[in-house]
Amino acid sequence: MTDTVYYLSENSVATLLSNIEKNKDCYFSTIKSFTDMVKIKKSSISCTGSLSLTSYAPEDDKENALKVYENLKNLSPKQASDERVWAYMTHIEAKDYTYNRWIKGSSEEDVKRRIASRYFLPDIRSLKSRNAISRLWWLGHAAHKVTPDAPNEFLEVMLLEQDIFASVFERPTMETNIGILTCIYKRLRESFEKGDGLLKREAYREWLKRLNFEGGVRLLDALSPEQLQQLVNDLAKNAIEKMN
Amino acid sequence: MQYNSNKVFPHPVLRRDNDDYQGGYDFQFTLESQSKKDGIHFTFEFDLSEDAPLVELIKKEQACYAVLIKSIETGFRHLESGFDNQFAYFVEEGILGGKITISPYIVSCVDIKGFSSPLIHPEFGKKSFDFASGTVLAIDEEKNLYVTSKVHLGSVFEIEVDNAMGDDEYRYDRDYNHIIISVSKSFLDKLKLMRSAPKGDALLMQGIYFPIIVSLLHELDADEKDGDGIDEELKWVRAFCAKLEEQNLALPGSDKEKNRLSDAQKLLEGSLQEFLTVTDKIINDD
Repeated sequence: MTDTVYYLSENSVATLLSNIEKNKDCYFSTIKSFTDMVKIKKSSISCTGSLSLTSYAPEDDKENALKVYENLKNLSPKQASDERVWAYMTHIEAKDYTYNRWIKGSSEEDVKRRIASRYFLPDIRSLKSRNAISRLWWLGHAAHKVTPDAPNEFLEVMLLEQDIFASVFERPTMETNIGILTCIYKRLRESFEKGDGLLKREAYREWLKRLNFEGGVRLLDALSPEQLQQLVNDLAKNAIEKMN
Repeated sequence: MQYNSNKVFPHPVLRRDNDDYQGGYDFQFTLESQSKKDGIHFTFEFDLSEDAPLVELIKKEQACYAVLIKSIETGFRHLESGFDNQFAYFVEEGILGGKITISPYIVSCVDIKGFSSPLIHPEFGKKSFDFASGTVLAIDEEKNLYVTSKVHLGSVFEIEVDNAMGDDEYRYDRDYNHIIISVSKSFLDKLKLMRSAPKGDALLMQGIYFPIIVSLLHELDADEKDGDGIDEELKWVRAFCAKLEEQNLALPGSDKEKNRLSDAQKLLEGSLQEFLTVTDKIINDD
């Protein structure tokens, strides 16, 4: 079944953002809807029906990322960075998911800030790491770029720990460079299968720190895939040795 | 890797305002870009004098000119390189969005052993260096351009009620993704009436938004001049920069001549004409 991608008007997004406090009941409710409060627009981009995200645990991010990306794979990167699309998804299409995954159980002091960061895109970095649905799309997008024949394998490793995800995906120089991301994934996959100690927090953090440092004097984008993989592997070996 | 003339590398790096290489050598980078329906066509040109350090490395194809193109918003990142000092690159429509950063370099293409030059500053303590492949040998200031969907500037404003405001005043707050204009309830009711009238938006644009836009343009210029820099995390700032670029007007911080009163009129694209039409009708009806 095919459908069309919908999005909110610019003014609707702005109005929702400035009325979070007033609309708190609606965010928390499974019955109330934002539909009458917003102007919904129809794009010319096709998608495969509604999102249907019914699993809310962090462990379900892998399955949900694949689902979201598959449903919205016709978005170009430019369209996929548009707040109007993701505000529609979080407020209308996946309202229950967004609430249950990220807002339920929040303290009173924290709830407004969390709603702003998970339902909207307050800044560029929120696109890939904060907004409840856009982060899933971009995760799925990366998975299809790095391991196009088996995107679930990429997600299996990168979502092993939320800290691994954050350590890689919150460093723009790593997550935007598909070459580096691929090499990082391959080395992590090796550790995942052999258990060589790299998946220990201190080890992978040291490794990524060294890689970041190396990127300060060398333009890693200029290396061939083989050179880059060698560098990534050598730095991993050094990090493991340092921890032992 | 952002450009910084003072950044300390473990090896000499050719760049302007820096004496890693003595003799005043640097390289100049120029960028031309053309937005067309199919995408963006880039042309890059490097100007490195014939007797400058690194020229021999490029001739021997041990080093190359390289340009890193990045769009944080869309996650695009690509390195284009070549041994000629001029080359082109094309990006399809839909791939780039928001702020695009173009960073020029000269980098080593292979491992290089024993590079030397009499121009290397003696403070390095040695005259000969080994470079691993990909080592940055020269860097120039990055250039930015903005790619965005056609934005109507009115959409970055939002009007809110503030009971502390008098009925004949308004103020604005620029610290959010939208410019928040605060007015009294009575003032807001009048604005709503204005908007509902034929061509009423033109009255809003010229009467309320126009002076704010002039003020904001001056504030953005001051932010750049004061060294604080403009906050490109904010949506309204990105929208303003995109509109300025679209109209070929001076961006905050550029050396281009600025007339912000005139620029604000251009940014509001024809609303002055509509305003005059509306006022003409009001005068004639009276």
